[in-house]
Amino acid sequence: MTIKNFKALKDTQKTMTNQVSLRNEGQSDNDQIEILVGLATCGFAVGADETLFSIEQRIKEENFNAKVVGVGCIGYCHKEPTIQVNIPGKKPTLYGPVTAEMVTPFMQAIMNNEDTFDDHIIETSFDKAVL
Amino acid sequence: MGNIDLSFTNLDQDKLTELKTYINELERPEESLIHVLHRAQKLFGHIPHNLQFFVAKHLNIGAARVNGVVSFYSFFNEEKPGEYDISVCMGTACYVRGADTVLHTLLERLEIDKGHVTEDGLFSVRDVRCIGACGLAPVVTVGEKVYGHVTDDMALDIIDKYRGEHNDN
Amino acid sequence: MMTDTTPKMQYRIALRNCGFINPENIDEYIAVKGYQALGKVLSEYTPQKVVNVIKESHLRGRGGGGFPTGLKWELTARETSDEKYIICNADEGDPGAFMDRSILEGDPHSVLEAMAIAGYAIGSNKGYIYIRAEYPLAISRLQTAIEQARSYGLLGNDIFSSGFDFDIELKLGAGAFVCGEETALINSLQGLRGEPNKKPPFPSVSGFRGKPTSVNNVETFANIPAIIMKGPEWFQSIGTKHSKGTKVFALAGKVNNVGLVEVPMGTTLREIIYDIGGGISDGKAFKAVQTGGPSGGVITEENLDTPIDYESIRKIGSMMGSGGMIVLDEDTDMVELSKFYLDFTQDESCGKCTPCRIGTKRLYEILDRLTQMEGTPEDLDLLEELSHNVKDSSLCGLGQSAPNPILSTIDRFREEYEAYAYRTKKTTYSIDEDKCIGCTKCSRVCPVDCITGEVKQPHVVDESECIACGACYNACPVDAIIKP
Repeated sequence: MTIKNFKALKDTQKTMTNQVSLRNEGQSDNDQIEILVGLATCGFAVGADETLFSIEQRIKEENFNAKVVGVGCIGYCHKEPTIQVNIPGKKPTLYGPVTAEMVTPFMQAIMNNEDTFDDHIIETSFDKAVL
Repeated sequence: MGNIDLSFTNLDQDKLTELKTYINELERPEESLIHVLHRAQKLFGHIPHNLQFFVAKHLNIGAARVNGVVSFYSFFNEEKPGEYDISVCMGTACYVRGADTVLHTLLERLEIDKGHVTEDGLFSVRDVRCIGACGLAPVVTVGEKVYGHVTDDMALDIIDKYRGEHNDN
Repeated sequence: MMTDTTPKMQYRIALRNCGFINPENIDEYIAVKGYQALGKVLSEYTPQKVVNVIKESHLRGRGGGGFPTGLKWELTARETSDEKYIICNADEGDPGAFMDRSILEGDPHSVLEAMAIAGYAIGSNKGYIYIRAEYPLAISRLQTAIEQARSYGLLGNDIFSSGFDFDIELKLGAGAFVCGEETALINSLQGLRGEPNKKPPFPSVSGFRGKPTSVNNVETFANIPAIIMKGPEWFQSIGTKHSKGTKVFALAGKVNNVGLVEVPMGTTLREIIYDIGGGISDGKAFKAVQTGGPSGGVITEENLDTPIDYESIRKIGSMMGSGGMIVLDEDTDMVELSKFYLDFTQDESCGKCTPCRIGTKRLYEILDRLTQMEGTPEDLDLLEELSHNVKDSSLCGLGQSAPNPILSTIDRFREEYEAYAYRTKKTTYSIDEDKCIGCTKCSRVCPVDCITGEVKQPHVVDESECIACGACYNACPVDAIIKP
């Protein structure tokens, strides 16, 4: 696909917004839960890739209505692996650390809306420039 | 220092051919020396004198210039590293969290100096510049594997783990 | 949009997408209005207007120098030449800094987009990213991003049917701190030893392959698309009088919340270390914070409330640098810290100019002598005099700033240097009799058997035998061992 001009880019952007709207605004046109896993060097070093793999496994095995996306570093190195959970209609929540061993109970808590991992919530302390 | 062997006979001929093909396909060979050396080190693990000479010959530049570049940049090794190449990050964050004592613990246990290889060829230990995992300081890497928050005891465990792995094989 | 009425400490411009989009999927970057700044300049702006917008924003180089980015672009745009080059300096060399790596790993397209914008502004069709070979993940994500951008026609020929061509290539460094200096970086790009050249000529006149070249840092580039999209007035409204926008810091060392922070210029160090960083780890006392890496200095308690920008941080004896921020606690030995930095710079000195090659080596030797208890009081004067000589006579920024860690610490912690110079520094462990419960653990682990005492009675260290190995300190269950 070649984007031929500025207008085509803007049109493409509009068709793509649904890919990210859940992350920032908690908005979605369906009820699928989205899970972001920080996959930068510091995440890899403490096994974030294994966490991501375990989450994928759980989604497949349990047929959860969820998807997982690898993203960059959100900056909370001391709590890696960090995971952002985006539930439609709710404020996105950052958790950490969530290691591969913790994934089974973690997914259980997320999918059933239980508060067992609330002590792993990281309060995000930033605003960001929205273009 | 003994005599320097500059013949290519003791180098893996298939790898040499691969390196030669890479050099021949370069668009601007005159400014690609560093990329060629990265490729050479990837293929051979280190860049001994005869390999440097090979690169010089095929890039049509002086061997002194090649050696000048190899010795200038810390990423390039002239000596063969151990089977398990242990790097201790010496970035400031690791340093203030005790990386220097971790390094000494490793060197003492393996009875080698920094930058050298154990007699059995199994381990080499070096200090490296910040690898950027400051959140995990102090950090030790073995090959691609990264160990964070390393204590002196953990450093010794790491050696035992790899020695065990080697013996199992 | 989620709204929170309490003002947040951090404001993220350069890190706006890090952790929110998949860096290996260009569609997600496009979804957050990626490449629209490029679309905007190519369809609505003249190259001169791009330069003007960046000048008006007052964006300054985030690699450490703080040189106005718009001016750098203008100087390069002004030159007439058949070829010009845009170079992204991704050779993050400050040991203890990882801002650029995080941007490249988390949001590579923002850097590519900004480089294309810069190319349009100065009249260049080719960009190079000079990246550390030690960053394999960033390299692979950049490579993926470049390929995706090409396949969408966002890099390559006739971008957005505007007639503008721009492409980007990766060039690997090989581990040399001096390559952060732009002329050294250019030499390394050309396959040479990374030694700096005398300036002038500046790279804007004669840079890569002898052509006009603009070298900008990763974080600087990451700000560009936001400035174009939101306007220079918006960017100017953030920060202090002379330093606009935000700065990313890699907060590390003895602090609870190690991580990346991006704060508006003018934020105080106390806010960064305590409010964002969660204070000092292990309940220790704050001693100082080191900024600017091997080129910088330490800032102590009395200056923690200074609003930080390029100018103010110089006034309090350090420098902004690229953004490394290492928190030091009461246990940090300042002379050892200076020695650590000088060991680094004397090792990284490229050897081209004498003051740096020999001077940093001698400075290191003096520090080594002091810490081995073999120094003299005269060494302190020598240390200061030589520091000033190296500073004044070195060829490039590496040598000119190499003595800063010494000058800064000797000014604030002279008593620590004197303790070594007059050999009054205590170097052995001892036991607090009031705390000792006589458990005998220390005497059992002591490798030289210099700790004695009856069971359940306070123990004593024979300090003439102590080798300061610290085994007793680690073994004691009640913190009764006093460190040197």
